[in-house]
Amino acid sequence: MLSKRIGNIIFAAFLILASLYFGWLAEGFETTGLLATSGLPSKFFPQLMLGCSAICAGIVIWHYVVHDQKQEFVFVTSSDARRGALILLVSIISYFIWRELGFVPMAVVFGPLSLLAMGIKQIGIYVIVWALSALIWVIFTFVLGVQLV
Amino acid sequence: MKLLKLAAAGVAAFGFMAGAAFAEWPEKPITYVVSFKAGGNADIVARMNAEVLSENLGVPVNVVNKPGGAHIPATMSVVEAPADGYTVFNWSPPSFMIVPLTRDTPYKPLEDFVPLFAGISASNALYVRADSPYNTFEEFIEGAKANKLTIGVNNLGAPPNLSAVQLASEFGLEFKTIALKTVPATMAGLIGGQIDVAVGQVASIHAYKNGEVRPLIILDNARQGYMEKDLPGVRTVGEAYPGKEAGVWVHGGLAVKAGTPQEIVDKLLAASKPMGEEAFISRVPKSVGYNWVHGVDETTALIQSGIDLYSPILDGLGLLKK
Amino acid sequence: MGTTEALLSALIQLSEPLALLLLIVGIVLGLIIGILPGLGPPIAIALALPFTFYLDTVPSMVLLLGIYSAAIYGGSISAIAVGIPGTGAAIATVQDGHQMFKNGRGGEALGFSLTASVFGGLVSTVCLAFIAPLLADLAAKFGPREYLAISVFGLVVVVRVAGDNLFKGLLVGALGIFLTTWGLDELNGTERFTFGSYHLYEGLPLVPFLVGLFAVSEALVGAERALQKVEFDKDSLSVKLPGFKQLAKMKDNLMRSSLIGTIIGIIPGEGAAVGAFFAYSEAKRRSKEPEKFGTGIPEGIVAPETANNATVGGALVPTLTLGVPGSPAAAVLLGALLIQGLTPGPALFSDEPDIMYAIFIGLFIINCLMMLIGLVAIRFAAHLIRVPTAVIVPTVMLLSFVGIYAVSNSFFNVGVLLGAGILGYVVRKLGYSIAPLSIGFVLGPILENSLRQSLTIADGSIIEFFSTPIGLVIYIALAATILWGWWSGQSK
Repeated sequence: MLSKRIGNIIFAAFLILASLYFGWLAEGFETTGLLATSGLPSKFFPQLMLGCSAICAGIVIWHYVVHDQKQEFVFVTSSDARRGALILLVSIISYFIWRELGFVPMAVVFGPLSLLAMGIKQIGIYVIVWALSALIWVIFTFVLGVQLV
Repeated sequence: MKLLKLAAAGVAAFGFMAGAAFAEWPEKPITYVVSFKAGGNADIVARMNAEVLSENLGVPVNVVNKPGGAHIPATMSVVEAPADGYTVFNWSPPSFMIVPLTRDTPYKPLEDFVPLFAGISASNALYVRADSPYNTFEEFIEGAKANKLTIGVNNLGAPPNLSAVQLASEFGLEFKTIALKTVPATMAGLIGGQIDVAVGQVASIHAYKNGEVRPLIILDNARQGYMEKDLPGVRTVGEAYPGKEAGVWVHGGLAVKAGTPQEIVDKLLAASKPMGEEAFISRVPKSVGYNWVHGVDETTALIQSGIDLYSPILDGLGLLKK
Repeated sequence: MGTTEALLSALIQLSEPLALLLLIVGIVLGLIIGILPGLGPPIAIALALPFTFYLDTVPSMVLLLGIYSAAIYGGSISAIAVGIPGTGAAIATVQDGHQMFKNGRGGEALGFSLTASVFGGLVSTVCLAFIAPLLADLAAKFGPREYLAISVFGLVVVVRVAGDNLFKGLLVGALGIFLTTWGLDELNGTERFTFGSYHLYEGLPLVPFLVGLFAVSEALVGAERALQKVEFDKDSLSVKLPGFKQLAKMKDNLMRSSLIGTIIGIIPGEGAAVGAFFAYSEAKRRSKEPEKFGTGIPEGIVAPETANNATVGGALVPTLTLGVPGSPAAAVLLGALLIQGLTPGPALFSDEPDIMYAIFIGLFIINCLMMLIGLVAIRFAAHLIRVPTAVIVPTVMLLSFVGIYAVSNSFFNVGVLLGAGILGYVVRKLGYSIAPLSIGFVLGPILENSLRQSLTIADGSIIEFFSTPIGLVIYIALAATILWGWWSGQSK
């Protein structure tokens, strides 16, 4: 199981690397227009913020390495982690179904898939979620006049 | 429900093949893409246009605002939609001229679009606070040569900013330019003392009847009839200093994607006719300029005149895309 | 037109059946849209705008003002009952509101948010009606240097709402600001982190980002615990409005938050979300027990809810008197006024006094009626805790998807929603608070632009940089609060 301590150290280290990468990208900004003669170049502010978050990330790593040795876990149980990950997967898949096949097919499968991901067994809940999905479709399409594609 | 839809799709497909194409258009809501924020002048007139189209076409016409990103995301959302008349575009000087002239854009306005009409328009004017030491344009030029004044514009790269840049280059001035987001905000910033001089529109004066601001000059070459309505007696740069350039060109209207069937273009043109009638024009807010041009060829010629006007200006300022 | 005549004319126009009907329709519509994540006040007003083409000025104004006020309030209902702010304005309400709901005091929490919202709305209406011209001067004086000062103040707010670990809060705060630098540089058109995609020219869109951060991450966290039964006390389902005694105890909080909300509302470009955060952090700082904030206490609901509704009256000040909208929603309202043939600006008060009075009185009535209509709505909302998490998770996800798509017609924005949701989920799981991340994302553009434009104005002179009376007052107030906080920390 992933402990909070390890998770935080990995995340902060990742942020430092990302800050370096984005800071390097910012070095490549090209200002072509002459419209604004503002005192600060375009790269200054993003690099300043990246610097701030990298320093904070460094402090967070130091905090977890030196002070915080508690054995806390990111997820309470492994099935919690599984449900979280599965529902994330379902949403990403549904996003692509919507893009490729349209809204109605997505709305039809999204509810049942996410309930399966959460391990729900009661049929009643499937029916309720389906009904609510239909209701959302009706409200947006007919009441608000939005084309959901 | 679904069966019905399927049947409708089938009929439509059949109709397409039989050549009686789009006799049914429009059969679903139309999306009217506006590249400005909700609530601004361009958005207001676009919403009024949408209402007229909706009334005459019998389907909802939904305005969708996609502001920012140098108008490119909004323009591209229309280019990427099918040319079926269900996505229409509110064209404007930035999206059709200034941006394509100054940077690489993934679209070409007159190749990717067919413009149908132009309505909203504007001319820029230079304003100062009532208590400003500059009473005439000449005094202002003297003052601006002596001190680096702060000039307010709505957005960097928008027509008022171009007017300011052109003013500076023609008269050899240097300004500190502050962008205040909208024209009314620029005028408010002038009253509040944040800036010394503001580039507003000729019609902006209607919000300040109590004399909080004074117009110095109209930032244009030749005098146009409609200027007299807003700023009677105020000279243009071309009148005050013959030979100095101060051209702007601000029009806006509706365009559809190139390749849209002629029947749809004709229906849209017919449905937009009332926008050129007095009943509609009288409802356009006083602080918004309006100049009606209708028809594909007429509007294309108008846009071409704008491109011809902006190209040398932008080139002179070193901004033209090479 | 004399004052009396104008007042009379305003009352007559307001008492017409159509105006009264639209007032109620506006409130109900605003409530519904406010509750839905993704759809906020600006889109709610824009949706109703075409109808005003066929209406007179006063009926169309009460319709839109009803929508505006109720949408801002409505966001707090979903914030409390589901833990998802329905609008940006309710972000600050989630912390204590939802915690209180989970602690079995849901009915009470909803009662507090309703009362506070109405209170804030009423106070700001009074401010609008009596000192609008005075306040308009303040709004006109806000330039880059003043914005910079208030944004720096805002950053300190980020630190205060940072949660237990200061550096974790600062980290995500800076991250939030950094993410706003994506897209075309507003001041010179430079492409920044666009990765060759024109979709990113406008940068990461605000609403999809915020909704993803809150709604999607909340749904993901909720999914983990989908099988657990939610324990609740039957008593918590009945809505309790706070008693007079309870409110009297919080009178400082109420008044302070109302004023903060009104002032933040007046400053163009600073919306209800910022006002709510300022009020929340100020309430926390002034409290004798600041550590209790975030654990589900009424003070943590009252402060942001009073302030966010107070921004409505505040935002109308520059809208009506200068023609400069005080918030995105007010921008659409301004459009409605222009469509009516009015020209908002200094002359509006003298030209159309009856319409001004109708707006003031209308706003007052709207807030009173919102109390009644809100009471009905929260009776239902309190029962949301009975709904199994398994039903809420997919429904909220779908609603966020649809809400985001409806506003922008863009799959890219739905993608941002998902991405922000994943980011929010990860940082929450690692014990970060997402409040500083979101407030950083809201304040980022103002901070950068005001800093750079201030430097342009100063033109290399430090004196010029600070020679702004309003800015100086803000900086001094800021220094005072920091020193005071440090000193009181030392003496404890």
